[in-house]
Amino acid sequence: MTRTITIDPITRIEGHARITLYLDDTGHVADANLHVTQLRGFEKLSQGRPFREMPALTARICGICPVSHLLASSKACDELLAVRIPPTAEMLRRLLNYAQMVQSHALSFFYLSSPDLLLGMDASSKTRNIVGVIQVAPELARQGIRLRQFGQHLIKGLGGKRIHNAWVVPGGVSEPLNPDTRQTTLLAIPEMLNIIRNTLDIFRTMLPNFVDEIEVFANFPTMYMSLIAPDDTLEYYDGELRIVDENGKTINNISSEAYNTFIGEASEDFSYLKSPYYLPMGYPNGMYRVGALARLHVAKRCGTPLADAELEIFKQIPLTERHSSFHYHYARLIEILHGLERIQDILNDPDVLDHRIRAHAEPNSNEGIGIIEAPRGTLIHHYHIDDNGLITDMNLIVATGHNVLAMNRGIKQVAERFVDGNQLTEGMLNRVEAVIRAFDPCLSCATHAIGQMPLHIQLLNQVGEVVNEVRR
Amino acid sequence: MKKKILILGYGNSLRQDDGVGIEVVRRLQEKITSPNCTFMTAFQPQPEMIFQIIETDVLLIIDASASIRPGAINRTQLSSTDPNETYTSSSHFLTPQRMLLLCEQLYEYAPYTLLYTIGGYNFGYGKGFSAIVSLRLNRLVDKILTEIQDIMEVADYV
Repeated sequence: MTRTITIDPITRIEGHARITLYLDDTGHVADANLHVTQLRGFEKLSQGRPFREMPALTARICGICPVSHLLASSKACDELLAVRIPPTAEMLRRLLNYAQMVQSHALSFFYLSSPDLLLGMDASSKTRNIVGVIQVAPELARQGIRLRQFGQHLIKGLGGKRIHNAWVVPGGVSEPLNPDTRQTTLLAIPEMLNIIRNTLDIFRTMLPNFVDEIEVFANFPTMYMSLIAPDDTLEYYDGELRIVDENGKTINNISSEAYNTFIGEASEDFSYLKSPYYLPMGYPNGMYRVGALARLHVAKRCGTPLADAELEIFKQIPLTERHSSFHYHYARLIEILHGLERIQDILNDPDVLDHRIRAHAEPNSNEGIGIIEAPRGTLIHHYHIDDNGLITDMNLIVATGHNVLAMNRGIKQVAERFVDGNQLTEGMLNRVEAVIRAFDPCLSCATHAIGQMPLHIQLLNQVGEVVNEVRR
Repeated sequence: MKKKILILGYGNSLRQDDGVGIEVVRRLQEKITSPNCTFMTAFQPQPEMIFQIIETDVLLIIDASASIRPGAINRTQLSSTDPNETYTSSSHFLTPQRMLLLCEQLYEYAPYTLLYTIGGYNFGYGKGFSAIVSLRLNRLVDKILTEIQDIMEVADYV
């Protein structure tokens, strides 16, 4: 008799989702699905709206990633205007993107995942939280909060507010950099560099405690995709998309205008989240991963000295193990270090204070595509407009979507190891959640009240009867 | 010696009465010129706020409440050791008490804290406030202004 375990909601992720595990007659996991149950509909509601509204409108998709949508949308709008934005505007946009990455990765690591890492997957949910982290590692907790605050302050310093600022506009940015923001940020960077290097040292000492998790947290070879700089270093704002195979060998370099020749989008009836795949390989074989771990698989180097040194250490991990999505945590820490170095470089450039920051034009093209690397991976905005500048068609592929095929397979892999349908322990279920958390999915959240909801697992038989139920 | 006062209002201005804390802070900002008062608004309390909170002597928090009578104004002194406080597992959202507890646990200090709440009536999507909240807004602002004045006068003699 087939049985089903449902985990609803998944805690400590951005948004709402639930997991269903399908058990076979012997209580072993036969299949797994991640259901994203929110319907957002931005692609539809944007139709008929002026394209200039899109950066501010699409930023409302999410309260965690508004900066990423603002940037991708503005890049698409730049193409509609057919302008090349001033160099300082590009520097400032890159600065904003790095600040977003620092704060977002800090949130993921210190707030959402460190309870599992520091207290262990089997710790009680009553203590496995940020308060529990404070009790066992108060200095790390202080530093994590401080690091996130740094990123948020920089975003606020650039855009006027932390969430849903409208500073990035079609053609550039709306205001030049305030010299005070530059000064205070530069002064804080040495402290932030110390924090993240210290955290990397601590994280490495934790790795031996998670051998089992590393082995089965979506640990399988896949393709990886990210933007890449011409010198094969990390790139977050511009350039081509690169797809590499499981050995890091380039399969394809894709220009932004050709993305939909190589990326298809499949729909499943169990989720509102689309499942992108690499078209030449078909669905679902065209599975690939994006985000911090993918970027470190795609790039040959980071392009900044401290992060490059850390990448070398990371690469000493055998390739078969580096495929584990557990190492998204490691990759995020390296990217925070890289982001801080880049922020420092940009702010030390005298041109960063230049007041020529925006190109003005009317629409000169009916199609625009903007692609950036958001903290969670590649973000694509694709717009069509009519001659009046009104949106006729919009396609968004968000970072979390790219990873959904790998997440589903990762859930199954973890569940096969840790979930026994006859013994639903908290530690087992948390590992199923933790593999999702490793990807740091952002399910287009507008509210963060998920943590106030209980974990609810139902065991259903073939005809849908509840044969077992667990709440916490 | 003048006390440093941090005035924090939070809520969502696009959910009608939920945004009343932000509006109260805006109005207070127009009326208060003292350099000892700092103003902060947010969607919700967050861990990063503790760095400003530990630098203050008095924290005044303004929020809407769905659990008291619409228009009613409550004034509560908060403690960092509130036995009724329960943990929420959403690690980037904090209750005010949890925020104080974080301060206490990480820095062994939490300021004297007052929470002002006003009962809301409409929390649906939209801007503006319900009639009852609009009617009571000035009363709330006046109460807080009096509170601040008292704190400052007392501080002059301490």
